[in-house]
Amino acid sequence: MATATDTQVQEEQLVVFELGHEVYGVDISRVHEIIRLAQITRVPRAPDFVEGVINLRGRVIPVIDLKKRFGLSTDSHSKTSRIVVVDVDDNTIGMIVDGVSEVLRLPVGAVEPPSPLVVTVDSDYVRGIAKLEERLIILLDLDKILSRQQRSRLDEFANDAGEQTGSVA
Amino acid sequence: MEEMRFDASADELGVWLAEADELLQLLDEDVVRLEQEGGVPELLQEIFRAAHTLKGSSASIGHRRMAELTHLMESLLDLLRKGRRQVETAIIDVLLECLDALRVLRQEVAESRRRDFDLSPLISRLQQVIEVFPASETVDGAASVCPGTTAKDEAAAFQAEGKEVFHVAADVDRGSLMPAVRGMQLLVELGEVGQVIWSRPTSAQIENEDVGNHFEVVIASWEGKARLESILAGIPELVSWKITPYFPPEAFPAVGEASTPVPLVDERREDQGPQKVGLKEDRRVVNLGPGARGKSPEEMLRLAGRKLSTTVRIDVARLDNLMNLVGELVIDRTRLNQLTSQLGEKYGDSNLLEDLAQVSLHLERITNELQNEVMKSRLLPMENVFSRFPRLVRDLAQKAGKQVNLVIEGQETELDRSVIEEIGDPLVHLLRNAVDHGIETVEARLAAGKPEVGTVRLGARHEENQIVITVEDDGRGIDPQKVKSAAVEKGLISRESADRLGERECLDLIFLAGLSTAQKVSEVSGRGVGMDVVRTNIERLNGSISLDTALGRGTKFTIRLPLTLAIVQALLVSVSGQIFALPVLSVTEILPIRMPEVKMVNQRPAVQLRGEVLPLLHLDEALGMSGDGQPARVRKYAVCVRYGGRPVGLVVDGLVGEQEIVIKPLNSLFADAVGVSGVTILGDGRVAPIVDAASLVKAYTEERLSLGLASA
Repeated sequence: MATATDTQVQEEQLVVFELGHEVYGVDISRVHEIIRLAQITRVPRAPDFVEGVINLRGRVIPVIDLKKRFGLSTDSHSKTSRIVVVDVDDNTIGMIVDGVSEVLRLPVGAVEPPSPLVVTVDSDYVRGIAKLEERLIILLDLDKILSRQQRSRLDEFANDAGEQTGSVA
Repeated sequence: MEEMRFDASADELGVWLAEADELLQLLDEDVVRLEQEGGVPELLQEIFRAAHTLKGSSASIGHRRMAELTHLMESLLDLLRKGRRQVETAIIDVLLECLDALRVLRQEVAESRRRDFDLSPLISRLQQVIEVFPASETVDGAASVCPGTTAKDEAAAFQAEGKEVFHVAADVDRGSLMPAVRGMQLLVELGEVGQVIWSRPTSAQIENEDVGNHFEVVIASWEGKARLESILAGIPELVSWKITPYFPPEAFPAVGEASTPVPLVDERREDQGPQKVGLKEDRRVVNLGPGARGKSPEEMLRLAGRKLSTTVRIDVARLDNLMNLVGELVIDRTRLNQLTSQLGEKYGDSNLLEDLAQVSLHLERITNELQNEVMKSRLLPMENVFSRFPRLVRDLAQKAGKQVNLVIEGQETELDRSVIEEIGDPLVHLLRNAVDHGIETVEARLAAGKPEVGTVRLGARHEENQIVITVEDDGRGIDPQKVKSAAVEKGLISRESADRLGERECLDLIFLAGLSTAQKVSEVSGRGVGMDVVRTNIERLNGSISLDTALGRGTKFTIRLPLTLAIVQALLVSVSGQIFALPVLSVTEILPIRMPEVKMVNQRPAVQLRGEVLPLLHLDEALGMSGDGQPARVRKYAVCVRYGGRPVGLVVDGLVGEQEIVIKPLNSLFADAVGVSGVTILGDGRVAPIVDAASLVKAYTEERLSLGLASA
């Protein structure tokens, strides 16, 4: 986790991918690998942005649809779709993206904090915007992608459990 | 709370805590046995030894309050084993209280925090009990060796009696974390086969941890050298020792202090036959470093006889990891089998394929064996759970003013440790119920012509691939009518549906949440949360619970559990184009059904099965899975599971097969995936969710189902 801040001093390495018409980037040190879309097993009653689980060499990891998570269009996945496997908190999860374009080195000076106009309560996962040769890259804070959603899920879960303590206990 | 510091590293404390837990557990069991069996010398000796070890080890980490308490306990136990006091309830009570207090003190070590806990009332009670008989002797024996006698004279006196006197010199491994404890062990264990005349360092020094790595003892023994040798070999971390006959030299050090626990009959002596002598004498023990002190099977046996487990300790996480790896192997094995048969179909006969088939067969056999071995290594005897029950039942009975005898059978039955961890609480509930509600008061029992002491039987046994645990009491039994009226009174079922219930259904009502038939709520049970929790917990383990009762004669609960939780035999079914796994243990039968035959009964789908109504639950609907785009099928299957003792048919699109699956937990993102207990990886690499039929049926239909069935 701390490595992100260390490298930020001069340069950041990013994995850059597309979602719809936008370009996003995540810190390369958090990315395990990028794989083709595998068969995804749906899990009953999962949160709607969670596509299901896949078998990653014997490990079962959850896969989320980033477009659904960000409320972007939800057209079906294409040939270029990939699963970016990342570390979030203590979890390894897969994120479905439309296509992975490249790995970029980014001078720290190129990153600007997100405009307060853009950041709403539910979009604090945007860590900053990088400008690079006319392109805008949205930098994601991976820890916030899940946390808010997960937190609300956990709250819901706690409420549910509270209502039916008799049966849950 | 004040912070506490101990003279030990975190690792040492870990070892210390594990040892303390074992000793406390042993003491707990033994003190209760003591009450039942009276002051049997072997038993008293065992208790004394455990208390003594605890004292030594608490002193070694510098826990003064604990050392003080154990010291007093030891004094009391010493009076008992010397026959100066008789075992009586007051003494047992105070001993049990001491154990409770020791647990609190142990907790202080675990948390490194001083608890707000006042020992002084207990200590003064202990002192009172001890001083009823004015003890002229203290346990450490400083006073019991006639003062003024020199070691030399003593040695000579013993030799005159025909006893052999030895000089023992032993070195503890320099890497040892607790040389003082080993030194104390040396003194105590030698003291069991003889009279320790002199030691350097003295036992007082050892207790104060004023020790190096070298210990010397002069002992008059009524056992031979070989016996001493074997005792030394049994003490951990001794790297070398030497036993020589002792002849009093001219200048022998004067008596400092000698430790003289009075030797009593030692049960271990019998299984340490003389035939093993030769073995021991050949032994050349050189400094092989820690961990290299091999123990012969005989010694292992002897140590095992001592109850303190002395086998290799393995971190639970490592065992779990091993199990996971074997799980991976099981998955690959299945995959390899599939590939082999696919290749066979495609390329027909070929020598290479035949070889492949053979290799894969061999791999399968080895994997199976490995899986069995790993599973076995995770098994623990039921004793691990059962051992705390005698104390529990005793306390419960005393509180309720009843007389109860707990009979435990089959505590050697082995079960996976994950199941063991989960089964304790349900059993506590059942035992509490048995003592609180089952067994009658002495007067009531006599009036009913029963023996005044009630009996609760706790049993465990293997039956095929299951563990069967029974809890049985000879108490008043459960009256189905009372259960029924209680359920109606509490609004759990309507009077009309209650009237239609048979006797068995009435009894099953006790598993409903919020029902308790006890007249008054006691401290521990009768709050009406018991039995439904028991059933939920057991069903979560893929097990089942049922009961038999006879009014006036008693009640018997029978629990069935799978041997392990990590790998289960499962039925694979397809639902909405995806494969799901159902543990076979929960499946009672499978029937083909034609959808047009499904009728609605009380707004619930159901079919006729052997003249009875079988309620159905569409698995796709219950799991919230959308269809797979295929036209609705006419032919489907109903997989019958039992829920609350009654069958429910889970409707699935198709049957895929039956195989062993490895259960993997689901990520916390799926926290509210009710009805799915985990996932598994199939032979072809696909992931299949595992259906937890009990919680699914419960979540989806509990209320209506019970009413629907009641009217059936």
